[in-house]
Amino acid sequence: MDELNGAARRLERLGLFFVAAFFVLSGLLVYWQVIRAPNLVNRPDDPRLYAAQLAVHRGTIIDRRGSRLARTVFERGDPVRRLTDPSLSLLIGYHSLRYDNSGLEAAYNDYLNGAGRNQPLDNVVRGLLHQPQLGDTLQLTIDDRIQQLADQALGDGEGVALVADPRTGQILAMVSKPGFDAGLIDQPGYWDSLQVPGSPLLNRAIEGRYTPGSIFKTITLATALSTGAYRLDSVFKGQDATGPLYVDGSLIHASASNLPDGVDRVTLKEAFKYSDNIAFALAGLHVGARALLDGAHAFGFDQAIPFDLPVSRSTVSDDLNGFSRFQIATSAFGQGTVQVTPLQMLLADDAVANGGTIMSPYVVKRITAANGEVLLDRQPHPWLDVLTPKVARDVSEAMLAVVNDPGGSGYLARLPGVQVAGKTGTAQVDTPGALPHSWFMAYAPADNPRLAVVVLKVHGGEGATVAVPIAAQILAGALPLYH
Amino acid sequence: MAVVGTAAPSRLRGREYGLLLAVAAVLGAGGWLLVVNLPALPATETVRELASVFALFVVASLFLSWRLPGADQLLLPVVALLGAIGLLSIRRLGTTPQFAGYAGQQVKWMAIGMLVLFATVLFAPRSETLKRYKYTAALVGFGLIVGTILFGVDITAGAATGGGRYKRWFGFHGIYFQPVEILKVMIAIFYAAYLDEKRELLARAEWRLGHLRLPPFQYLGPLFLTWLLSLLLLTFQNDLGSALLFFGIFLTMLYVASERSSYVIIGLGVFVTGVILAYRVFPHVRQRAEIWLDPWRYAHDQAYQVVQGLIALANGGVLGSGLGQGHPGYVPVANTDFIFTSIGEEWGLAGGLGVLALFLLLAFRGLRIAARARDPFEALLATGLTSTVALQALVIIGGNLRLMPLTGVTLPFMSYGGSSLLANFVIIGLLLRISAHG
Repeated sequence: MDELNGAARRLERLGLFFVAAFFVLSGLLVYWQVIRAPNLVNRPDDPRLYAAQLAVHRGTIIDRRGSRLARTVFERGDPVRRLTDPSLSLLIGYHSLRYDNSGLEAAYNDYLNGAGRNQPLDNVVRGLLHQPQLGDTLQLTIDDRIQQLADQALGDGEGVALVADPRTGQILAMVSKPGFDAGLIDQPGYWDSLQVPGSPLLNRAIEGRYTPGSIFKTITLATALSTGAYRLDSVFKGQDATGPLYVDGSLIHASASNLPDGVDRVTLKEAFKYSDNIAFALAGLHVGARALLDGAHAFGFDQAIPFDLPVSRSTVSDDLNGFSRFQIATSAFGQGTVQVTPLQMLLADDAVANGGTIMSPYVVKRITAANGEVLLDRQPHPWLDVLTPKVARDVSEAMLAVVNDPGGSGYLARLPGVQVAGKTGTAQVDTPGALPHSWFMAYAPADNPRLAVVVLKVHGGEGATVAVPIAAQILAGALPLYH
Repeated sequence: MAVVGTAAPSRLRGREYGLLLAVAAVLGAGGWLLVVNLPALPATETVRELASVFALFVVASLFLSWRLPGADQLLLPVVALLGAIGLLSIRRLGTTPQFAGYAGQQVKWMAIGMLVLFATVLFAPRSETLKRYKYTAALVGFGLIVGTILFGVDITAGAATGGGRYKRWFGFHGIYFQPVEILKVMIAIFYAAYLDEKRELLARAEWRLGHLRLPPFQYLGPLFLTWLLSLLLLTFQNDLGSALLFFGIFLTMLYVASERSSYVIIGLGVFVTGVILAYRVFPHVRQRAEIWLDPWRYAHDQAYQVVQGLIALANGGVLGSGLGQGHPGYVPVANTDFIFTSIGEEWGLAGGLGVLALFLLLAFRGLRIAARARDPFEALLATGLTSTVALQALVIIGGNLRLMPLTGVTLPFMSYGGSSLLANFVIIGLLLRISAHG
């Protein structure tokens, strides 16, 4: 009997041991599932984070007319982001779980993956039902027909083509080359093939900074007129027109005048038409560094341009204290220390075409939730009032002359039935042996502009012979498509 | 053939029937969730498997009503519930290709296991015979292990790449068996018989070394045997889990037989000494300890399983993601070593605590059977068998939760694995038989 009680006692103690042991396990379970859980669920090596991404039906990106530009398709059960038009890869960007996002895919990620704060209820309900989160649809201002037109017209080689509506600031086409195909980003080896000199992942239209050459004269001209120091018919004659010009002991060669033989007297408008560097150097020196810098600033230089994506700053001079007279002279015709983004020159173009006001540039027009609710409906609004209507008209007249007057450097942009205004640029570069950058900024129709175009061919050669025909081709094709 | 249990007139096992209905509810709800949440799983197959398992336990219950109407009525439903939750998890893991196809196998093993349980109830030798052949049992168990070490195979992932160093399986025409599972039962029988036989001696004989009470020499035999066995398992099979388990079984049985805590402490000391020795001598043991102490440092290689298991638990939280709505398949070996974290992720803390409670209930029921056993041998045997199941659950869940280094033992009745199921059904069969005398 005693033995039996002893055994029962021992079994009871063994039972207590099991209780204690399982109590410890329960405590540990609470520790891992409740106390430590917040740190653990955010570990990057949790494959569930990846799965959560996969469970999102990422929003579609469409152009202004509704045609699909980027969407997610499923290939063997895996979602793949596909672009209808690879020339939009730099603007739209890539969406990759491995390499993260770029371009609009990054800037509007919260909308595209449906995590936007504006429709929490739908996604909470869908989450409870374990249905995939639905992303919002992004409608761009891009017209894919014009985009493709610009892409083809620009051809191969490093360059940029930008098309916008100067009245609204809407970007209609944005091509930057070299490019890539965002839809292939996760293909084996593709990413590595993009890590090369020449940066195919750089959106040159907004991130690239280049010497503008003579298209910058548009800004010098506007400044010279705005200060009241000059009028369109102000005259430059003799050496003031033809050069050579000595500034602080440095020579600006006579060939820089770009004047035809026998011409040694020009008005400011004619100097603009011929792209006379001597006259513009003198005009720049006359109005002075302060006025030149303020004039450029009025166009958006040294300012953060409001845009859907980050834009590099355009600058006249990096070092204002060391801004010498020679630099002022050369900057006045777009050489020297001036560095611009193609988008900045498009805005300058817009300012003239739009009667002196720069509209905020934008590319995302409308965001619509999966349930049809409109989350964002962007309306055009002015950004900068740059020029008085009078000055805008004068600059416009000068740009019209560039294309239409005899001897104008932009004569190749003449189109049947429509008047084009523009300004050519041939930007000399320091690289020995390299061709200059070929620029052209233009708008049409001149009397009631609805399209503004900027074309840049990096190391493309003369502005007049390389960029102008490209811009003309884009305008000729796009004008019938856009009203 | 030994027919055990007085052939009482067909007594209804009402409590068991009722509890089995609860199991049916869990299976039904779980099956419904699987069908609704995981359209990728073949619904008819899922329903068939779950229904088959329930049918198995109903048949078992009827069998017990027929042969052992007086047997414990809680054991079978608890086992059925553990098996049901385990099967739901294994079935659910079918959405991950590497875990697909195991649920059907598990159901087959459960069916075979149930037959083995019936056979155990019907044909297991009576206690007197078991006692007489205790050395034979020990030898058979030992022989199996040595045989596996000599002639076995390694079917783990490492084997395919030539890393098959730890032979834990016997292979026969594509069917693999883990002899260490049978050894559990054999060793429990041996210890029970040995300790019962020497009980009188053990109670008296004892010698001192200063203030320390040392166990009589009679204990040293099985102690040495266990020590050797553990070392063999640890060295040749890298099987820390089984080593731990055998030592644990021995110590609990020793304690219940002798009521000398000092023996348990000495036994533990011997074990720890062995582990430290192994740690010093064998690099793989050392590595394992380091992984245990700082898994985060090895989160992407050796500790990947453990860390992923903990992440799975963390994602489950209090209520879990819901059956079919988590990602338990991200954890390697989620259907065997890590089935507990699979359950923790989808059934949450609630489900995890439930599983722990079921094992504790099973342990209590086993100890109750031991307390009511007809004779000391059967009491000891019931204690040993109960400890086997409870300690094994402790060891593997403890490994999942970082209470101790991760070991490769199965979670009884829940993990996928034929050998483990068969051995555990034998244990339940023996416990049922012992309980029927009460």
